[in-house]
Amino acid sequence: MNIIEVKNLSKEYKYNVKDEKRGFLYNLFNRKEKIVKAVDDISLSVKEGETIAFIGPNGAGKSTTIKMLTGILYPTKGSIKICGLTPIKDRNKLSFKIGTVFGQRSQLLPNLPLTESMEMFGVMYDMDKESIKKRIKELSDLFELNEFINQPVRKLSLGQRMRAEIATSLIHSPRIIFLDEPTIGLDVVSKKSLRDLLLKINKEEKVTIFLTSHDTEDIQSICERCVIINHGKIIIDTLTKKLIKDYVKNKNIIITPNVEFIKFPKLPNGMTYTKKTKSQIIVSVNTEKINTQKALQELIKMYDIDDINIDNESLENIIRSIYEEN
Amino acid sequence: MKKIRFAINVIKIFMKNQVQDITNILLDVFNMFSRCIVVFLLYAYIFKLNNGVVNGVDFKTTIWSMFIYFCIMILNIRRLDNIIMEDVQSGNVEMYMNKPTSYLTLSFMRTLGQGLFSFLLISFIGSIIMGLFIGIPKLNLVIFIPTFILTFILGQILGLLIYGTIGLLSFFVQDIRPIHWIVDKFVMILGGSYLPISMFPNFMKDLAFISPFGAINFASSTVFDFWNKEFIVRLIIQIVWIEVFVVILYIVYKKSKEKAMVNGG
Repeated sequence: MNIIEVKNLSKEYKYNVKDEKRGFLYNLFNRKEKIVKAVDDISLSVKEGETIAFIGPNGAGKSTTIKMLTGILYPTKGSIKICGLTPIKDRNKLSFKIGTVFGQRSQLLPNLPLTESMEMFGVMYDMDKESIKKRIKELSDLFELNEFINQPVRKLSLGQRMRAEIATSLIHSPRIIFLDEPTIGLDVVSKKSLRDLLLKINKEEKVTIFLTSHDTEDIQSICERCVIINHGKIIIDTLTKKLIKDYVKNKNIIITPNVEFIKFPKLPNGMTYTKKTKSQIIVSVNTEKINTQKALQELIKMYDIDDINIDNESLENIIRSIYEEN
Repeated sequence: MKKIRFAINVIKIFMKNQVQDITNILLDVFNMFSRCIVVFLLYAYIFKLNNGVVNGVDFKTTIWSMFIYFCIMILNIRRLDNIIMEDVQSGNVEMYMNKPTSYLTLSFMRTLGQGLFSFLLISFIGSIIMGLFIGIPKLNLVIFIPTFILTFILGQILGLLIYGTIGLLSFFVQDIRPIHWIVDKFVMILGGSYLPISMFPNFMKDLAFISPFGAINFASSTVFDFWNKEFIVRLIIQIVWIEVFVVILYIVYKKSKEKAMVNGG
């Protein structure tokens, strides 16, 4: 069953443009409008329980799309159905089905313990006292909030606060959670812990995850599907694994010497040095020009090798090259 | 019933949030007492020069009127427009727009919650101090108690509607502070902040009587003799202004939501 159904969705923004050659009075009375297409005729559907990464460079239309999906912005054109509801018309009903987390904003009360904010949102979502208490207990266990649940929110670390933000947005047991850059500014340990938690809520509570992030590690570890948007258009909508498989053009071969490397002979077409030191060589292989097996054979012929490692190109590079192509 | 439970809960939580910052409360107390002392000493001198009576009103009644006005200021519903402007400018407004409660209702509760503790504390302590040092004016308690409560509540509702309307203008203009400043000065002057209501010339009395800005602070007039004759008319004036501003706020809120939704805040 599709929990999100978007058809031909567009969003245009209008703003006034000044005629630089004319004066203030002329511009005051002769306003010219410029239209920007933030989202341009996109269609997508998401099944219940899916984990989706909605990615793109800055200004691609990610946040605008999320705001339309959550009922904050009116679409200029097209239709949206979230859990069978139209966000703009059924905003109130929809709010009970969705949770939102904006990485750079906080919905928690800074001076009070986290439980107070959770209780407030619980009451807002028409939950009775007992259900709120039970849900707070469930979320504290799931998100490991117990160690800081009674501390004022302003005294929490950023990692703890983000866990708290996500837990609070799940107080009413929504079916979908929209996360706008949830790991922004977090250290590697906090990022990992947050990713694990998101996977846990997806598995244990069957919550559909719709995530935007610039961190490819978030995408790779959480999302089974990747939707890439650029200039308001969806350019790729595929499984994350398939994206990596289809778009990996380069492999890196890392070689360590038996003694040390002295000479660095010229490589065949399709192979280039990315690192040349006495203790290590890294060769980038373009698999469209030369296959990995052939490249390895060439390197074995050239060098006295102690160890070899082969790495795929990082998802970050893949996504960067997709952005550049588009 | 659910809505009342929610309102009480939110106001209580925002009140608790405010209470955690004891510095703010101390500053409120200091602000209130320093203003009161300066103004009371000044008017004590003026009343002494006029043999204790100005415009037919004695010092005790005037000072109680000003004290009520200062207490209303401590509740500080005037901050509502600033709260809305900050939310709009920072973009935080979008966090509240996809919640089951309307953004405006939530802002009203936040504003009340933030000022309620200081208001209750200062009003209680201040009333005792006033009673001990200034004395209690002659009041018809049968009229005073119910009408004071009613006019105070109506005044605060009217204040929330007026300042809420100003706050929502931040969806259309970048900086609402000049508008806030103008309205605020009207509210302060007509409420008796600079000059006690008992000393108002006739045209200012009429203006305070008929304008919505004066109607916010009708509670500060409850200690005067004329209140016993005028309270029905004044309560009707407050209700009429509330109805007018409910309509204005509804239209502005609808337009603000459309503006945010169409142009992205």
